[in-house]
Amino acid sequence: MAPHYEQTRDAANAALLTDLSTLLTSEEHTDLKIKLGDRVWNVHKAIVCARSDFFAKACKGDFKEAKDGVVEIHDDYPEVIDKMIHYIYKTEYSESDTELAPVLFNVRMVAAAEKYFVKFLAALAVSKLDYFISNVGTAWGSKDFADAIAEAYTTTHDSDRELRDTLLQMVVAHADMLFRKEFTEFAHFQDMAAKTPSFSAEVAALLAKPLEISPILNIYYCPGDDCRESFRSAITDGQRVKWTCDYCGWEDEDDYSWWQSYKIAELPVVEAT
Amino acid sequence: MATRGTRKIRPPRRGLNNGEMDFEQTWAILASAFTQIHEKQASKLSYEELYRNAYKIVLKKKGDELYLRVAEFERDWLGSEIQRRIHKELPPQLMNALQGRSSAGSAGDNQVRKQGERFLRQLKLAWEDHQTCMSMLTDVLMYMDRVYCTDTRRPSIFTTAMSLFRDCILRSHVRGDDSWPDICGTLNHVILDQIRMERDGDFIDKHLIKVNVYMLEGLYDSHHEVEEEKLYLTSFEYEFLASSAEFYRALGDRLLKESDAGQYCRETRNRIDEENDRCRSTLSESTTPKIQKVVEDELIRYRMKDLIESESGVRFMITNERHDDLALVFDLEARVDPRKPELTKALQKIILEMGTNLNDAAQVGAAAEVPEDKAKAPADRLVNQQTVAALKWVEDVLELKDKFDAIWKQSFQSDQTIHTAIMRSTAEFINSHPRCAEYMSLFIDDNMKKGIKGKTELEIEVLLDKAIVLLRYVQEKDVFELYYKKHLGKRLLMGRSLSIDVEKQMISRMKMELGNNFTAKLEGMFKDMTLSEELTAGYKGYVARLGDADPRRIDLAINVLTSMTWPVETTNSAPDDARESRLKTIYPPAVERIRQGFENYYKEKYSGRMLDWKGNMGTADVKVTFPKVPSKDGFKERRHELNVSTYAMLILLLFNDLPSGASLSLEEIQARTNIPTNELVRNLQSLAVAPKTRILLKEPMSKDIKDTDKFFFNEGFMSKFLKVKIGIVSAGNRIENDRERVETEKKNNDSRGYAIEAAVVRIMKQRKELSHQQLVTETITQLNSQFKPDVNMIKKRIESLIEREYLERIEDSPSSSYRYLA
Repeated sequence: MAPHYEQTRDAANAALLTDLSTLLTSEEHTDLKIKLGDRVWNVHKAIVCARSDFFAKACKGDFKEAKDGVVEIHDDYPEVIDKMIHYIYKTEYSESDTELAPVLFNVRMVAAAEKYFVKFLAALAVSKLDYFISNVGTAWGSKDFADAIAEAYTTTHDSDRELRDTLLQMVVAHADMLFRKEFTEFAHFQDMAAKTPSFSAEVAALLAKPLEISPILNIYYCPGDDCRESFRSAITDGQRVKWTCDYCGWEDEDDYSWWQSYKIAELPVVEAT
Repeated sequence: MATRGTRKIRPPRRGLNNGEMDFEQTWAILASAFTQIHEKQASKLSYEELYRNAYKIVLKKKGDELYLRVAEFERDWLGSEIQRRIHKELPPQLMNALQGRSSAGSAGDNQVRKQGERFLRQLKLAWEDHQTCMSMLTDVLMYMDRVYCTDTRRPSIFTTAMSLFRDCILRSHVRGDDSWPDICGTLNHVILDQIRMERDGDFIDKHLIKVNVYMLEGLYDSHHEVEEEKLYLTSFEYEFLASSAEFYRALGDRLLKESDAGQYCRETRNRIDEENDRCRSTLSESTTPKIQKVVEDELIRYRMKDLIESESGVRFMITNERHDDLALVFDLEARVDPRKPELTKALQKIILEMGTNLNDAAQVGAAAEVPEDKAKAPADRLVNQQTVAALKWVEDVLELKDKFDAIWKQSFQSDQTIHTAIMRSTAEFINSHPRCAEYMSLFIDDNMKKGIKGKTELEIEVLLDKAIVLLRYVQEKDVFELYYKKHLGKRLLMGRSLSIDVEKQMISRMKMELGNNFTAKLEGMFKDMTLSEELTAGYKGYVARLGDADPRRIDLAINVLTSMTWPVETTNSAPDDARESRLKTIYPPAVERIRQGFENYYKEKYSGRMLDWKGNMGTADVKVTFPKVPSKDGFKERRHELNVSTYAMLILLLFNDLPSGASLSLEEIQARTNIPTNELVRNLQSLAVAPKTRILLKEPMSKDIKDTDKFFFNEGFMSKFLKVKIGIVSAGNRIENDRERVETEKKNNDSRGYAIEAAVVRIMKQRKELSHQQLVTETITQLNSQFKPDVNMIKKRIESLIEREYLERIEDSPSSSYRYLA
């Protein structure tokens, strides 16, 4: 059982989260406005700046925002920003009350998280996305899925592998359906693929027949006096093996470094499977 | 299919995924904002707008171009505007002065200094502005830094901008003239110039320099940002250390010439502290150990020898008891070398010289020894003078040692290395005095007889300690033992010791210092003394029990000495008396009876022991009645109690049987007593020559005693005292004359020979076989606590042991080796 003080601590942590949520809804002591179009959020500098590097930089220094106490943002979806601010205060958000498909919503959340450098938000959004497409059987075939892919490849940066891999995994699993011209219900998807070359290239790479590269096979000879037969063996550095010669039964309990003195050649072998 | 066909909300501007972005247009927005930032007019700019534009560019995969444009922008800005501002502060006059190309007067100096400060201030300003602006740009370009730079492993834009500052500002040349140093070099010159002023006692703006040093510390020589490539290290520090070395070399020269060593030390210490402060307040703390080494090298390491040997150096300080200055010298050298080689060397030399002076002085005091058979009395006086010189030598040695001990404690922090050095040199000069062992023993002897009189226990304690300390230095412990035994023997037998207690304390200290072996025989001497007292008392009782209560009986106090324990000269007669010593001394019947009586008593107690009577060692109290002579009290018989040596008693007893006025010749006296000639002569001298104790008259009256001299009883002897002590000429402990010393040496060599043989046999018995070299080494090790054996002597002893078949040579062994023969 966890020590008593840990229970206390857990309770305190929970209380902290509750208090922070209250702070968000009550809008007490707010000292910063975030504006997007005609929407305004009244927030707390201390909290927002601590959770987002973008807001931290905006509120520091000599720029206009620091003086006015207003950060006006552009090019974003109000419902996404709303949930992002929720997340900033609560470490969670729910997309159920949005009108957008969860797939699309979460991709947009990833983009916002990356743009505004909100810690851990992108990871949460990706895992939510993964949950939806894996659990809603037909999600992969929806128009929203195709739209989500298009947005993912244009609004997040290339090095965000988690988001891309999650989407690609689903596409590859259903590639035989999605890419067939005769299935017109996927025309939207195919159209998207045609317009999003970086996505198509990645799918193609995954669909190509994979090569299996075997480890390096070294050739050794048996040190037994009457044997001297040669072998192939895939021992790598640092590996401890007990070795028995197939031909004469020579046995030695020494490790790899001892083996090394009987190595004849080092051959990388590529075998197609 | 809950989501399918849901109405989508399209926000008014959704430009990102589909919207086109014109790079040039976007960059123009950024560039104009950057200009505003550099001109410190950022307050109207929206961070969000700039960030968003930069974000868009990177998202559109134009991060590469953005990065290059920003760098280009900075290069332009630094290369034109900032460079111009800096170069403006470098007028030709300043550049010339820094290069030493013009010789400005002091007025010019001041102007150059002002110009230098202006330059520093401008550079500081440029650097600080650049930092501020770049930190703002970095904020704006955060997305580029975190995404583009991280993915492509480019240095952050901030780092690149810092390198640009180095390239565009620090590496630029004033008016594009390559023959001048670049700004970085100029900066070095200006800073070094300021430091020079501060070293000369001026006040400078430390903070101003510190900021510029910060800049150098924040920049690197190339794009590898490794610690060793900091501009501070590659550009400034080297020059700083080099110019400092030059400065301190010159200072060292000047100080050595102009001030005394104490001042030199103080100045050096101040300079080191000053440089430490300078690193902290003006430069970088990372330089502290390096500049310290420079100062230590130039002012201490390379100068220590000159300093110590200078006229006002260590010798002067020691002579004049400048303990604080010595402490400074110690401090300084300890900084550069924990072994303090120069100070140690100097101290050793000085101690050795002072010690040698003492030795020489003692030699002068003891010099000009008159041949022995010349007039006896002057020779004795000479011997006494020498004894005084010997005692003075020991006192001087003690004083010297105390002096250095005090210096060691006060000035050298009781340092172990120095202690060893002092010990070694002291031991060296003490042992270089050939008679040190004898002198030390004499010193103790003198104190035991006179020195401790009226002293408190504590003072005596100190004295004993001193004696032991000195003894520690003496290498030839065996020689010392020989002399100590001799001196102690005389003290004990003649009752000259002031306190047997103190004597015993001395012995127990020696025992602690030198071990049991050393004191066994000395303790034996004390035991003999105690036993003898018991014997005397026992004999008295024995006589009483015999019932022979003769009132005229002679009281006997006897000392029975164990022959091996006591020094040879007390138990054996001198060798040249060998012939005479075979003759038995003839005792008159009254004495002989007593002698026999005691021998009987003794043999009863201890059978099988031989008693050998030592007439030369004993004393006797003799009551003498002198005939009436006129005196102011009228006619009276005079009785005196004479305290004389045993021999003198025998001589006087002869006159008992002689009619008044009759005489005896020397030969007659000798024939009737068998006293050895030299003893007889000495006793007759005290009885007949010494003016105050002239119990006998001699004819002819002269100082020398000749065979044909005649002796009469002096009936007219006069003395104010009832008791008269008739001393034997030169019976006290004094330094030996040459003949005696040769003898002592010979005896000592003999006993060393035995000690060596014993050691060799002990070693061989254990090891069975050993090479010559090993045997010699082990023998020396074993005997080291007693004396330093002479290798030749060891060789001879080994030869002798082989002859006597204790050992044999191992034939056909490559190096000469021996085998033990059981």
